[in-house]
Amino acid sequence: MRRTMAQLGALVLCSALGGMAFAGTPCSDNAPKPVSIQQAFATAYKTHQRLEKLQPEIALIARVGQDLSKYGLRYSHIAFVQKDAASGQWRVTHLLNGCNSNQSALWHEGLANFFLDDLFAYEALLVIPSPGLQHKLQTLVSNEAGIKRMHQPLYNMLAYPFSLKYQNSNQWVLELTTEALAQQAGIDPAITTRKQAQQWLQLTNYQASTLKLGPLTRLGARMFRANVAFDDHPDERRYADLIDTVTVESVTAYLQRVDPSGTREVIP
Amino acid sequence: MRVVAESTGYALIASGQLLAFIPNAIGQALLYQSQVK
Repeated sequence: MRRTMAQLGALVLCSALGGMAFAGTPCSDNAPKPVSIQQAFATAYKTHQRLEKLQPEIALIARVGQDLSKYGLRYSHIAFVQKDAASGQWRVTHLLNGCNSNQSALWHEGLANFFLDDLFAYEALLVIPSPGLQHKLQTLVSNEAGIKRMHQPLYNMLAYPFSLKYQNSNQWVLELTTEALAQQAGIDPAITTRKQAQQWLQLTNYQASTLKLGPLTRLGARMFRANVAFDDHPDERRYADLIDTVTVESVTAYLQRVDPSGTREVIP
Repeated sequence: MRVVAESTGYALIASGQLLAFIPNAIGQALLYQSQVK
C-alpha cells in the first residue's frame, strides 16, 4: 500500500510533466521520490517569491544536479529565467540533453520542472545581470530564432569551450550571453554565430573550468555514456588529463568580471 | 494517514513518512514544459 501510494504521487506528477529530459543530472528510470518532489516544489516556490520581489527582466538560475565537489564545483546546470507575460509565471529557458543520447533540445519550463530532475541538493543560485545586460538578454532569449541560432544539438557534457563540434547546456547560456554582452559593448558587426561568440570569449579571456580526468576515467565515460566525448579537446590538453569545459562556476566568474554591477545570491 | 497542507500542495504522510506530494493550484502553476521547435 505504501509503495502504491508513493508511486501514485509520482505518477500524478509524471503525468503532468510528460516526457522528461535532463541536463546536469544523472538519468534514471526510477520515478522521482515523493520527498524529492516535495523539495522541488518548495525550492521552486521560494525562487518564485524571490524573483517576484526582485522583478528582473531576466536572470540566470543554476541548480545542483549532482555532487561535483571532487571537482571543486557546486552547480551543474544554468539556465535563463524570465516572467511569462501571458501566465504571470517565471519560466526557465534552457538546453536539455535527452536521456542516454548525444542530442539536446531547447525547452521552456516551469520553476518546479527545473528542480524536479532528482537533484543532489535543493538550492538555487540566482545571477541578476546589470539592467543594461538584462535588457539585451531579455530581447535575445525571447527570440526563438535567436536562441536556436546559438544552439548545437550535438551534446557533450564535457564539450570543449572553443570548439563548434558539440555544446553543453552551460555553454549555450554562455554563448548567448556573449551575444548580449557584445551588443551592449556596441561591437560591430554584431556577434550572431557560435564561432564569433567563442572568439569573443577568447578575446575577453574567459577561463573555463579544468577537470583532471585520467585515461581510464575518460575511456569509461566514452564507452558507457553517450553524452560524453573528448574528440573536440586539443590533444595536448587531453593527453595531459586536462579537460577544459564550460561550468556554472566559470560562467558566473566570467560574468562577475565583465558585468561587475550584476549580483548573485543563493536561495537555500 | 494524515494530509498536511503546504504552500504548493498536499503532503500525504503515514507513520512519519511522506508517501506522496500532490501539487495544489499554486504548485500546478509552477509546472510547464514546451520544447522550442
